[in-house]
Parts: sequence; C-alpha cells; structure tokens
Amino acid sequence: MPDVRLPDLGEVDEVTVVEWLKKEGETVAHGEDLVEVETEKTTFVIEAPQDGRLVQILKPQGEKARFDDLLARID
Amino acid sequence: MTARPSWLKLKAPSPEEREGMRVVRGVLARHRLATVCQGALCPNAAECWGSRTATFMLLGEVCTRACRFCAVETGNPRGAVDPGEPERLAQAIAELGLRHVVLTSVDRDDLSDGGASLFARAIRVVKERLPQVTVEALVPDFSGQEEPLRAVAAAGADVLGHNLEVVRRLTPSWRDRRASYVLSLSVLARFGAHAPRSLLKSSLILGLGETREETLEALRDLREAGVGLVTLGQYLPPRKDAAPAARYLEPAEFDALAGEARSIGFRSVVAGPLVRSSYHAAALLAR
Repeated sequence: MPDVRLPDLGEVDEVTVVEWLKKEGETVAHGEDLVEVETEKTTFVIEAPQDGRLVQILKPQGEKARFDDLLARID
Repeated sequence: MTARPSWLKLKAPSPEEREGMRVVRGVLARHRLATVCQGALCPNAAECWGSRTATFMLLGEVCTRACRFCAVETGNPRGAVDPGEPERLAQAIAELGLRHVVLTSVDRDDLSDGGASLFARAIRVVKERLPQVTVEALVPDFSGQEEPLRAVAAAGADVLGHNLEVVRRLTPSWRDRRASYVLSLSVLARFGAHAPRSLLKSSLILGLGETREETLEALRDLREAGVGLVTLGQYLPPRKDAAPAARYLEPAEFDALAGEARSIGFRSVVAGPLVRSSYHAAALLAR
C-alpha cells in the first residue's frame, strides 16, 4: 500500500499536522492537496503522491511529525 | 494552534527542489559552512536551495546578540574563529556555480574587531578566486567602530548591506540592547562614504506593531543614508515562545509599500510576506 510520508521541507526539524483536507475513505487524485503541516514559521501543503483512496491517517490533526514519518496510507 | 493567513502557506518542495537541497546540503557539509537559511529556519530554504543558492553565515552559528525576532542561537563563542573559512567558502561557491552570493555573519561582540577582518578576507578571497561572482555582504554594526567598518568597506563587495530591521520607536523592544536605529543608519551612511562603488542595501521586518507612517519614516531615513536597495518582509515568530506577530500584513499592503519605496527613490525593492533580506538577492541586484 503506497505511503504518504513527510517530505523534506528544507530547514525543518519537526512539524505539527494542522489539518487533513481529505477524510479517511475519500478518493484523492495525484497532486491534490492532502494535508497541511506547520513549522515555526510557515505552513506547508502536502499533495497526494498518487491517485487512490485515503485508507488510513496515521498522524491526525495536532500530532507532530518528522522527515520521512508515515502520515497516511493511500490504496 | 495559530491561525496563519492563507498567504503564508507554501507548497511542499517539488522533486527538483528536493534534489537541489540535497546538493546544497552536501556542499555545505563537505566544506563545513553554515547558512542563515538553516540558522533562521527560513521558510524559503527549499525554493532557494532548490535553485542551488544559499546565504552563507560566517564566523560560526552562535550570535553574541539576542534580537527577539531572530531564530539564531545567542551565546558566547569565546573568540573562536576558523581561519580557513574564506577559502572553503570560495570552494563551495565555485562548486555550486553561483553567480551572486550573499555573505552574512553572526554578531561577534566577543572579538575586538567584531569579526570584520575575517569577513573582509572572505569577500576578498571570493572576489579574487571567482571574479565573475558578484558579492553581497550583509554585515553587523561592528558597534560602530570605524576601523572594522573601513576594513569591510574596502574589501570590494558589490553590495554592502546592513539591516535596519525595525522602525525607530520599536527598535529598543525588538533588537538587542547594543543595537540602535541611529547607529544602523550611521553604519550605512559611512559605508556609502567609504565604498562609493558599492550599492547599499537594507531590510525592514514588518508586523511588529509599527504604523504605516513609521515604516515610511524608516524608508525615508534609509534613503537619506544612501541606501538604494531595500527588502520588506513579514515578522514570523522564530520559536513557539517568541512574541507573536502584532499583525500579518496582506500581500497588497506589501505591494503598496513597495510602490511608496520606489517613489521615495529606492532603485530596487522586494516586498512580500515571505520576503527575507536575502530573498531573490540576485534578481534584486540585476534590476
């Protein structure tokens, strides 16, 4: 099952998940905005890495994540 | 959780940008160089490094001053200077193939010359070894000492920058107590006198509680000091416990201020919420 991982965001140690723009069970398209995470200074929008269904969110709103952490699974 | 305005949202880096970041990180690590991109947790790091540019931070990563808007660590480096830094810097610039480079440093009040001799040597080494590269030096105030200012001015930077950072009234509450509005203007004016061929550049951080009139006063004061290039950006709290922004200026307000700055006589202006003082420095110089 394809993973959605926290990409390299530049000079960022840790982010907080601000908002999932899709719910579990919803279909997503490659390149569609999926989740917003925030750093100390800004907010990054992470896109879906491929078409599919968002089956599981592993880092819900409010959770912290680091580079390469598993955020969700798309099937 | 803070509600950030929509204009402070960025797309996660593209694959090309991630590749650029990997290249820049490799060069920095190999030559043991620091950048303000990292020190200041810059939101544009992916964009700039993605296009293989960076703002080098000389003289270590620990600053002797503590300005409230800044993410760089404060401490006492106890006189430590790395004499091989200028040569490694030139090597890194060559490897990255940069045409324009911004050099800055932490404040070094622990050194009698504030780090000016190393800074000046770094400028000279880059200019000598890479004559095609334009050099922008963003320097501290050197406590207003004449000799360090002259040494840096004489090193031949194409752009000499010193950031005024904050409007007059708010300077004491935001900048380190050793910094001052009048001193920063005097540093810029003296650079103009000592290095008439260098372009002068400065920067203001907005959203700290200043009024529009106070921003315009600061811009007029910078023009009067001879500054021709200016950047205007939004204050972004550097830490969770840092003072929040008094206000997030809308992109249109930055555009309007940029127009005002041009009408005051600045030859080039970069203004916007995510603009930092070295953002798009090459383009600013080219205009």
